[in-house]
Amino acid sequence: MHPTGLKLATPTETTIVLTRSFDAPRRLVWEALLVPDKMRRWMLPPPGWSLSVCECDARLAGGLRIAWKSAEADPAMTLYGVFTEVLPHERIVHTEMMVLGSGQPVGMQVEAHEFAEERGVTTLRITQTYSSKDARRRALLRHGRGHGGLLSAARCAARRARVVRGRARRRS
Amino acid sequence: MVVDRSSRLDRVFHALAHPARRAILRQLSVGERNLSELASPLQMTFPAASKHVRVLEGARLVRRRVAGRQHLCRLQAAPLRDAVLWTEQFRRHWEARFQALDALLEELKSEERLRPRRS
Repeated sequence: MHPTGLKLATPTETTIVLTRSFDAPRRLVWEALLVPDKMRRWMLPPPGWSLSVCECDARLAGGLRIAWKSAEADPAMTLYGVFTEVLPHERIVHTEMMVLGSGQPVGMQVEAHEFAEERGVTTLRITQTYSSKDARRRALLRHGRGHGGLLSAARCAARRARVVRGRARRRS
Repeated sequence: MVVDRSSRLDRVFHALAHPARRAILRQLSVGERNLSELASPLQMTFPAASKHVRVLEGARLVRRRVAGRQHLCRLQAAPLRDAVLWTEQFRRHWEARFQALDALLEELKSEERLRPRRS
């Protein structure tokens, strides 16, 4: 088995599925995706932005907060989330919500990561589920502009829309 | 300008989201058609087909001209190329991150080789 390039699929109207394999055991892929000092290494903020906060507690009901700052705003964007399902080294699900520095929510989704290992190669499958067709379309556009990577950059997120919204409001 | 560009793409994606509109585009890909020609294989009324064509016109995917009593529609492919391009940018953005992740994983693997885990 050889690592393969990224595949992008849209099996339903509200989902985007990213599949990519990595030449490493899934234990290490898990760690790289979910441990904050490792996450900082690959999250690649858009030009002119940097990561100012990166907190991730990859346990059931654990939280996530990732913030980006730019020359104009700190934070320019924050991602809040909570883990809803955790099966170590196999499957992890979180919801996430992006909030602009102004406090305006700009996107919400549920993201599942599945890790399958075969002969030392891990295939990672990320399923992003958006609240609507429109929301998925907006996410594609945002990513296209380069900001959007932010949306799914985050490894964790919120239990339910209401919970996340409440948290976002309290923090802003 | 970015906003204009993205709202235009929003309209393209919206236009493409409906199966009837995709069917209309397929028909137009072989040449100009009038509204009744577009409506009949879709088994919809003339006004319903006209409504879909209006959405496609709004996304600048279709141009309509009136010739006598006929409304002739023609495909405009340029906005479609934009939509494909942006999806490709989404993919490329993720691939760039995953390449950074590849590099990190190589590092983690060599760290482990040097310092085997105790557990």
